[in-house]
Amino acid sequence: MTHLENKIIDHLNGELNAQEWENIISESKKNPETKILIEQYKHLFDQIDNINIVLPDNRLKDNFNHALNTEIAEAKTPQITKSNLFKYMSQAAILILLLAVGLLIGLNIKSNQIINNYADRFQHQQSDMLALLQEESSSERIKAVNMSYGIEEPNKQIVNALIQTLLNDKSDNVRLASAEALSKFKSNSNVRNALIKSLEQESDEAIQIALINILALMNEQRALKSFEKIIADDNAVNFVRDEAYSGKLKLIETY
Amino acid sequence: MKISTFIVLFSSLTIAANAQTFTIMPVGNKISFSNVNQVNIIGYEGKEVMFENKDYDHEYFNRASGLKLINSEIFDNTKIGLSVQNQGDVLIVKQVGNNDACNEAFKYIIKVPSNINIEYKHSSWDGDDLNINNISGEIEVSTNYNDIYLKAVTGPMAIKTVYGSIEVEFEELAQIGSVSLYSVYEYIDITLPENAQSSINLKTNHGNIYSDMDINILNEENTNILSNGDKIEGNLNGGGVDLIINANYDNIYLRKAK
Repeated sequence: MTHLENKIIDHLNGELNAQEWENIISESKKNPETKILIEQYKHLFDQIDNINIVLPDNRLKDNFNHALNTEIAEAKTPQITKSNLFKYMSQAAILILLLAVGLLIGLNIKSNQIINNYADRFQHQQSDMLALLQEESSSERIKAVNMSYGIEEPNKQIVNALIQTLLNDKSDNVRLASAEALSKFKSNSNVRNALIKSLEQESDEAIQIALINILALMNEQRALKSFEKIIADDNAVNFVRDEAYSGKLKLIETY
Repeated sequence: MKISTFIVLFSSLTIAANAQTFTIMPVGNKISFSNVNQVNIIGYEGKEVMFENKDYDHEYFNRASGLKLINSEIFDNTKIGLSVQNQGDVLIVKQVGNNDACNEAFKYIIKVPSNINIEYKHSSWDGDDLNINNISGEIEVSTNYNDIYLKAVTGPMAIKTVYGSIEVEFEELAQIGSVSLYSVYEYIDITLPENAQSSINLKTNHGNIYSDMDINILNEENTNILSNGDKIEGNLNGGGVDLIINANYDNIYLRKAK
């Protein structure tokens, strides 16, 4: 684009002063090419001015604004469609599953440790108790019997050990301690049977009295026969017979 | 010399003259008494066991001189009415024949090593008092009628009597083995050092429990269950050896040493 063309365009846009335009007209009168160029640009501008400009109506504007707002909204909160909902749920489920597996593994390790510790401690307590029951010292055997109070859920082996101690230990005090220790297993039929058997074979009067009291408190009706046997035994000492009679009355009253 | 002094001296000489003794070396560290009446056991810093029949009745024994006791299978090898012999690791002591507790001819003072283990059993009514002093070994007593007095002992021990009372004064409470005291019809009275460490279990069905010690009671909610009697479980000074006291029909006294 020449310098003359820029001046012509400025003139047609109303941006060229009058003196410069008079100079260009004067030049066009002398030079036909300048005159033709002016006429071409005027024609071009006329054509531009005659172009029918189609303006968008308000609906287009509204639609555009709606679309824009929707996009903005979607950009802030992604829209969950059925397809991506399933995707999100799958991802969430996998994440939860991984967390749960991790948690379970952790808990399992922890609970296994607790169980192992408890089992070890229980095993030690049980071993210590069973070993102490073999000691020559009566005090040590009583200590072993008393350890059963500290074992939260004595198993069959421990209960059987206490029963054997009740029935066979040579020390009166150890057998007494065993009877007391066994008295807490009221619901165990083996224990009840052992207490009745012990009463039938026991020769020590103090232990007989303890057994009578324990069986009466347990409301063990099968002991009634043993009590009556003692009451009828002329060789039994009087205070044991008295205790058996008292026990019999308790069983009859609570029956 | 005043007359009173003379009388005292004469009496002492008479007693000394009547006393008869028997001494033996135990093979092991345990002495076992079976139905021996009126026994007073004293621990000392020696190794032998020395029996002394303090009021030896010469007339009683002289009357049987040259004769053989035929209502007993046990032989009197001590000349004081006892059979004493080592069997295995245990020194076995038995009374020979029937001797009631009123007979002063049978009243024994027995000196034993203070760390020896003692077992005493008596089933009849004529055992009278059992006294044991200054013993750090284990004591096991099973009687029906004896009143039992233990002084300057440490435990461990297992004591049982039906009709007798039990009194124990601990010099210290050894943290070795349990202490178990059981009386059916009489009281049990225990004196412990104030700093004794113990896990206690006190029970009476028909009596009361008294104490001036600082007991940490662990079963306060169960102390008054009438159907089961009264029971105190707890500890002294943070706990220690088991102290089990059971007096069925009488009181328990747990006191600190003054």
